[in-house]
Amino acid sequence: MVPYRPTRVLVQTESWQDSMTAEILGRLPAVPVSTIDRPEAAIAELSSSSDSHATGKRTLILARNPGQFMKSCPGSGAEICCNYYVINFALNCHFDCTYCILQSYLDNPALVVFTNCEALMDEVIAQVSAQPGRFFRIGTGELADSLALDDLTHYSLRLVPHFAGLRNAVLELKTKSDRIANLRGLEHKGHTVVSWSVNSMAICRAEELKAAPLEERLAAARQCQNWGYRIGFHFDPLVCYEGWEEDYHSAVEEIFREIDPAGVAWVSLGALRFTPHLRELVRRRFPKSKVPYGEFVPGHHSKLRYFRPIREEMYSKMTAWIRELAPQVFVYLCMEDRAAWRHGLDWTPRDSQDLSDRMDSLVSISDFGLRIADCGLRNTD
Amino acid sequence: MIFQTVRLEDIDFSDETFRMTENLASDGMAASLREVGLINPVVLRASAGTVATIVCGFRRLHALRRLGKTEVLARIEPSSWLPLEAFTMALSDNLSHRRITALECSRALFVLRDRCGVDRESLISRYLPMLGLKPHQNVLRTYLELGLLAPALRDLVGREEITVPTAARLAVMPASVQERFGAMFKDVRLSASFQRKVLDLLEELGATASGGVLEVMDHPDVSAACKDPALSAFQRGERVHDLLYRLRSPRLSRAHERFRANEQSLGLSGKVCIVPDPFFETSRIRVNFEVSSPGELRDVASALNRAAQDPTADRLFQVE
Repeated sequence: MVPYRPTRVLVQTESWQDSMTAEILGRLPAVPVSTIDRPEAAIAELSSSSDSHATGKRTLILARNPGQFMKSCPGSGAEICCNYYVINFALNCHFDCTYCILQSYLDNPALVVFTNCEALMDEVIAQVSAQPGRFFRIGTGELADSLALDDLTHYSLRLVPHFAGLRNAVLELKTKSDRIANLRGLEHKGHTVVSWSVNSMAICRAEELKAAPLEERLAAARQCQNWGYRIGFHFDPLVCYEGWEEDYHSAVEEIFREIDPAGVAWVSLGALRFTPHLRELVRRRFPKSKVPYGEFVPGHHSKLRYFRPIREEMYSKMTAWIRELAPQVFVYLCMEDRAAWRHGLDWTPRDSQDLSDRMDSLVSISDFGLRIADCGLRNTD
Repeated sequence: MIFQTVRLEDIDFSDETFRMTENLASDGMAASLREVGLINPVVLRASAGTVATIVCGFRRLHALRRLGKTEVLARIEPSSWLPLEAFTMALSDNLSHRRITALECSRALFVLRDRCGVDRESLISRYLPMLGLKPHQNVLRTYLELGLLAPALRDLVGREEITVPTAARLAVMPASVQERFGAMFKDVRLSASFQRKVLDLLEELGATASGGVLEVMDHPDVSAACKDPALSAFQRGERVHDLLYRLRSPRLSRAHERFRANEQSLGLSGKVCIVPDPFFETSRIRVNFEVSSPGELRDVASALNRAAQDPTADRLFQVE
């Protein structure tokens, strides 16, 4: 992977009081640092640049998050949703994957890391403790890559031990990187799942320009498995192109050659989707990319998706390939409706709660309540 | 400022610094000059030596030369006359007595920007409204792009066979693609909305074809549709659009065709129309019918009931 190296760091005045700020700056010795009162002003200035998406990321902003860190996953509006939670510890990602939603979703071209991590943990503990009868799956990979900057931020060193002490929560670190060094030796007590967003070799090479190559992601996953972490894989986005079947089949084989399926918490599948705005942005920013030219139709919330039979074919073939090598691994769909589950997978949850309960049961620790005890551990029923 | 008779050979016809007129060969102008002679003197800027630059009167001067005249009455401005002052006069002269075409607006903006050094902000806020255009950066971009248009397509814009936005999109494509479009438009006509759709489809198909847009335009079915003698120019245009749509969305197109075939095989009367979800995202169908009497209602209901028992009806709910 291409490591992140900012050309300048802007530190919000209040962030100087946070120990994380000095630690990060200590790891960037030769990078110019300035103090700013309000990140919004710097972001507005960066946004006005003609190629703000590319140049903005060279600026690292260290700031405090004045709002909420923990939120329901934006996918929770889908017909069947896994009731996931996200923590936004940072905003944006330097990997520059061509299809990345952050280009269009964030109105901020810079890379922002929130330095008030104690407030983040306090908030998580408060929310999780307030509902002791509920299990929480919480991820940090929604608006940033969970580990891409971990050698700078060391966020994992703070989060993983904290989650180890939360009986009704599990942390999912979702990444396309190979930055796992900090996870070694941490006492996670099974409360952290390390997941990789994966794709076919061809898509990794052509569309995930600065992320770690597939083989490096899998080597990192194997290492984490050796350290006792549960592993997740997210085939998202699945991209339909000439030769996709052979390429994705190979990717599945590659994964289960490297990884013991018994230690895999889940595998998700999600076919490529675009907002119309994102699609135009990708066409403009990455003229060589082929991903904007599939057979798309407008669907839920005007998002462009592959024509339904294409999606269903991709899901059913992927599921079959995974089942061949890892029959017990839990496979689910992200952001899809009931019909896609019915035609694309070999099982369908009754509703979002059913899916959520089954996923909770995969990662919850034995001392957690009885509500999920009868859900079974796998989705092959 | 002086007025004097100038020999045409002392005027530099090749210097088009201040030209904004698209079509210099005006038969109407030649006829008028032959009939009543020159009404208003042309405006020239003195240059080094005896040669003068044309500021106002390109069409008049070209027509006089065609008529075999050797002299013209001209207002002569000194060589120190600033380009912006000179062109402001040319602009006012043209705007005061005739409708300026899109290509002439484009020429005017190029002269203002490249010859007169007018900045972008002034082009947008001052000159676009003067040309009758909205003061917006996208409008400026569109009209500047028109300046790159190949000659074959300039004629189409002049005849209003292609719209300004279409022309601006074509103008930034390679010359070979523009020429191919020029050739296609000899046989095909497209309404404004079909121009946009066809260009969208060509760009998207071209993005994944190794030979780009040209490869798509040279597809045998597309080429054949462009020349189909049984169709009018507009029908050919629609046919080209349909073919490109089918190439761009092959499975969706086939799904619609299958649905239509299944609907027809149910043998319902023309009063009943069955409509699928437009993109088959759901298996829902809509049954529309119109009746004007209880008898007709009963007939339609019976026909629908019979159709519902037909196994073909099940296929209406299957996408593939």
